[in-house]
Amino acid sequence: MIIADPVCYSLNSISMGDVIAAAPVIKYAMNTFHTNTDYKVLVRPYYWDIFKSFVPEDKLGDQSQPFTCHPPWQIRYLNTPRSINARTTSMHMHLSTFASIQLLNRIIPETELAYLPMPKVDVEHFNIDFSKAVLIVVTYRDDVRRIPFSTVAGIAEWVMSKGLIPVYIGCVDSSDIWKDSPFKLAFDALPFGGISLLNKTSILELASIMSLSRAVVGLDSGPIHVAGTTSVPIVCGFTNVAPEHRFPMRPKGIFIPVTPSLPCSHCQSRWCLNYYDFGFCYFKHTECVKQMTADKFITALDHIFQFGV
Amino acid sequence: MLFDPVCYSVNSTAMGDVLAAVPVVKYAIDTYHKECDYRIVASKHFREFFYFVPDGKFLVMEDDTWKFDKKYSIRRLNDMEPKGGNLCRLTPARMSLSHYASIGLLGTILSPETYNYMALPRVSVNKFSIDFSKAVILVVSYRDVNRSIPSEELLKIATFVKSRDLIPVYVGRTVDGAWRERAPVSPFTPPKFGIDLRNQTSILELASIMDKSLAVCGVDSGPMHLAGTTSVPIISGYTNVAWQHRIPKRSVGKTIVIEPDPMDCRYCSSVWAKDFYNFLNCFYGHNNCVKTLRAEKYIDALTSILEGK
Repeated sequence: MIIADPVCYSLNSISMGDVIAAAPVIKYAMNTFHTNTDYKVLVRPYYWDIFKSFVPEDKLGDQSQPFTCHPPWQIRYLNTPRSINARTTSMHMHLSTFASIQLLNRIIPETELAYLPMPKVDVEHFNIDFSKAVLIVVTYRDDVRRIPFSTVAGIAEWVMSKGLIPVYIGCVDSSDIWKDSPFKLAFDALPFGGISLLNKTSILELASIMSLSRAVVGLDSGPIHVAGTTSVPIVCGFTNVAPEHRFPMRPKGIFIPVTPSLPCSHCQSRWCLNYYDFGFCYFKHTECVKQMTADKFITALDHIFQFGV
Repeated sequence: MLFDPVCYSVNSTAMGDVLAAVPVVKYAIDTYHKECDYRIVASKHFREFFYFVPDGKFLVMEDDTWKFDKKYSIRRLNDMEPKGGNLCRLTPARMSLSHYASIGLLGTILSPETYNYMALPRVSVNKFSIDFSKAVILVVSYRDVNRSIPSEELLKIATFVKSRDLIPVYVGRTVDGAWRERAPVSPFTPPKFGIDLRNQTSILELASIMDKSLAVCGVDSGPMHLAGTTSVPIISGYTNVAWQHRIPKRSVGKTIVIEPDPMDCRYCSSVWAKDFYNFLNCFYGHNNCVKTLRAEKYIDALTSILEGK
């Protein structure tokens, strides 16, 4: 019998990718250490849907509210405070490994880290034939982690030329992530044609839509990790973070990374500058973003449509 | 690639921890510090492990001379709070010592081949006047009762070695270093046969002796990791820590694992999740894992080595 402390797991991240990668770690902990020992999972309410299918309601708490615990209870944080003593970051290792180390202090087997499928919900009210849809993630928080407008236009045009529907997804104002972002994108005008579902989907709806669609295209971001909970083909660009640290863990589903070719590519993963804020390009040229050109995504999409999954 | 100047503090008094950290430090120097300064801090007892570090870059932990320029960021093997205690609760009991060193010092996980223990400089051991080609080294001093081998079992192994016209050589340290405050709990008294080298070898001498010997037998401890810097056959027992986390990493040399009899609580320190318990003592007080490291298990392993199997 495994003997364990009662633990409060605090998923103190506002990044959806971090939380999705942590979900299987929580499930592993519940099944391994908490069959006879109590636990609590603290997470922001807008991510509760990710956990409701396997964490009982009374064990799920609001991470944004103050929480104290006393021994034998202990609290484990996904993100430890940024300091010189806690420089383990998800940039230098896979998100899932990071979650495993931070929450469980151990590296659990890769087979246990597969992203958990989300409950399917009805998406008929969108009146879209998703079997013809290619979802394009168009909202990003950081200047160094986004797709240029021209790239979105190029991809959309190509998708339409194939008789398919570009569907724009993302979220620009529903969470505090975007509040202060200088790169808040407004796609209201939709200059490229297609359908906008910006700010119109819940997380579960987004996952259900993705699972019905032909492919998901975008830069490494929360929605790409939502796609990772399904088996939909994913074409994902990586600028400042290395793809080997961010690909969604899943048993099936094609994943094609699109990468820049620069000496400074994936700087945040390869360099060791603890005091620099990689939300901004170190050299101020954001050349990696500029190299996220439509042709690279189109080549990958074409491969998927020709050769299947 | 861009990097901060870093001070790597290998702040452990456990020889195994430090030996596992040495290749990680070497990797860091070769990869990140070709043009970027660094310092290594470690115990004066372990200076020789870092023979590839120039004197000007090595700082002695005990002398407290490492209050250096703040331009260096500090990375600690054991992430301690100022008053002690492990800030992140990361412990090398729950992951391999090498992963632990890589995460603690570099914030990343290196490839397995990087972790191979580094060979130490060979020194003359002629002064001992022993034909080590006929020697079987027995590690006989241990700090913790639940990580030791019963004295009576050691005696049986020694008797077997003698019966094969070989020389049992008893090694270990009981007078200083880590042993100062906590006397060895397995006070093995060497019999009249064999050779007692306890407290008579330097670390480099011990490694050189091991390198010349037929085999090294013992329980997971510093000298077993020292044997891991050579290609000598190792027969190592594991009790409260899983052997998967502690087996020395090396590219050559046979290592035979001696396991306790199957019981629910074996490898407790690795398998359980009790952060507030001090695993230096058996949780149940019976030390059954130690009791089942019986001599015949070692003798079977030793026989297979002597017979070249």
